[in-house]
Amino acid sequence: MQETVRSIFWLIEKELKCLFRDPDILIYGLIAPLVFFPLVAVCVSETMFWYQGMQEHKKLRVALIEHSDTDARFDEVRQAIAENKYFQVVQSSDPARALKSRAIEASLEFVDDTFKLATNEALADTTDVRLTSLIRERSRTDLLHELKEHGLTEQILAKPFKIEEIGLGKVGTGAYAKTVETLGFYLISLMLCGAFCEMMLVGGAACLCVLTAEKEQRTFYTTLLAPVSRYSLVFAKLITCSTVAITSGLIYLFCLLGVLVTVLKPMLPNIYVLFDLFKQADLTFWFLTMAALVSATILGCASTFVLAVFGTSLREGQILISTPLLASVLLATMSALPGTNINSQTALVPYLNMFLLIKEGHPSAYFCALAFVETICLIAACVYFVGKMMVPDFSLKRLSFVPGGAGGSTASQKSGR
Amino acid sequence: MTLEVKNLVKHFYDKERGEFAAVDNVSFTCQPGDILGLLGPNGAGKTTLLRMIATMLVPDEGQVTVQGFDAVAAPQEVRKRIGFLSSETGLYERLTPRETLVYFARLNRYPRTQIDQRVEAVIKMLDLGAFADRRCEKLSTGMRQKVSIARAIVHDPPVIALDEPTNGLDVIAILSMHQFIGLCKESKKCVLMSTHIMHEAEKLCDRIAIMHKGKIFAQGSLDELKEATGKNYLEDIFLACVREPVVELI
Repeated sequence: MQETVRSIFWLIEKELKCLFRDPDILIYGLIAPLVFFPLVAVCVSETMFWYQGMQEHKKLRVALIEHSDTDARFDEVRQAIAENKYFQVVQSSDPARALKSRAIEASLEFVDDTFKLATNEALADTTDVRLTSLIRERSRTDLLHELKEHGLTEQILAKPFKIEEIGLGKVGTGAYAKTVETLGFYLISLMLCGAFCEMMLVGGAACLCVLTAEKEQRTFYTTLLAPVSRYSLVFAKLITCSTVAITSGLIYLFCLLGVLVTVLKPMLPNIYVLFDLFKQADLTFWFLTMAALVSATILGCASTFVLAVFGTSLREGQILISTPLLASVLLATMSALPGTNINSQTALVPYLNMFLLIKEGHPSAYFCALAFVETICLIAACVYFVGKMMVPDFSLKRLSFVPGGAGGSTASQKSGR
Repeated sequence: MTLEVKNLVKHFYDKERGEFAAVDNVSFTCQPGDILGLLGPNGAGKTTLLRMIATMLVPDEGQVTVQGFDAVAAPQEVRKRIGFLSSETGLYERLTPRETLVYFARLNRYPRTQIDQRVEAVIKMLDLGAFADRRCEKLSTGMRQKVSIARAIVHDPPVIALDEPTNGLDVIAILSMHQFIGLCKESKKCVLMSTHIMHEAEKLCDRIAIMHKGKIFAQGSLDELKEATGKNYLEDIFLACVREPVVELI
């Protein structure tokens, strides 16, 4: 047993060495996410700046309502708004009426030590975004700190036309916050599906490298001469491919988060919600997410093995795996679509169920158990099948692989003896 | 007894010939320091026989034992004791020869503390030093052949099976292969090699087994074969053997 474990470790070490020296794997798994995402980020950033520039021809009119108890803090905010290029401070004797008649887009009032913002509904979102743009160059933490220092509350960030205390940071309260929460989880689902696509792309390429390419280069024959069981060999190869795929997926997620933090966060004030969701999601959610993502990737690699074992060359292997790989990626993507929920039918689709678990967040223990046990069984079945198939058929005078044990295409098997 | 093959039979099936015996009731033994050549034309069953000995194929009948271990009952033990080399074995393109040797020494359960020492010794013995740290994808055919040899012997097996070892090699590579076989004899290895090149068998082998259509028609030293057939040249001995009924020399 100890020897088997050691052999598997050595096999994995060798496979990892070979894979990380493979230029294709490096390009797809490491360089593509590192180069591609910053490139996408720059494109998105430029597009958004251009779009923003198009929108900036009109200033939003804001009425400032002063009361007798207004103090220096109000003057500070008034000055900030007046100096901002997006706003125009206007005088209004009846701001409520002005709002209704759309003579102004927003009114800001300092009542009971708190800022309250009101906008007309047609421009609510825009006004809200632009008011908060006063501070969006800084991080939210810095802002809150500064606001507190000035004795202000977080309500300046509140959804303005709903004067109630529905803070953007307070996910899970109010209708708007619920919408944002749904959107946030939808975005997380999409991110994870993207990571899965990346993992399957890299995992597929790795499977071809460690299995089909070995047959093409006739190195598999050499390994079979060593005192190692075929199942150890398949298991080690599967672990290697999964490791490479998961590493690549993590790089993908890391790059995506990098883009969110560096490019999108300063530009989209509401993206804070996504970060709040990240913070608020409990450990069970993250554990379930990672477990589902990892097991779905291992299953993906195992399924690719089942197909790749039939290929005798890299080209043949590529043809064999490409369509089913696309199908599995599509299944995973389906889980991100609105309306696809976990139920007894969808839970039986191996790839889909893993992603539905992520989407559901807190599925029942029954579905979790079903999804994980089903996946583990399928992975074991794939390893067994591939192990059985990895037999050199010498009778054909070439290194192809046929089912039926170490004897290959022998007379006794063909004649049914 | 290092290697013992008893009544080995292997049948194959193809559409043209139907069921046929690729190896038919073959028996022989090989002692330490012996070089036994399997001489026969293409399709004689030499490679199938070597593959059964190397546990790559399971015999239909008969038995192969290596240092007392049965190839069917204890294939892992047999694999540890055999170094198998054929033109069909490839090298990992992205590993260096040194990495390849360490990998196979480990897989073949060579004592862990002695692996580095053994790898160095093999590199020195086969003169791989100049390219031991260059990736295999950048090596010439001759260099690759040397690395393949090193790979087959890195775990210091008592039995070495060589399947047409000089096939496709240039003169210099053939000479180094011959030197290597000589080294194996000196270090008391039991060498089993298949070839269809008569002069190679004549030059290298202590004993020659003449194979044709899956059977061994004659086996013995060159002198014994000459005496039994009354012929002087191996080509003539071969033709005499395969045309005549089986000549039993042992």
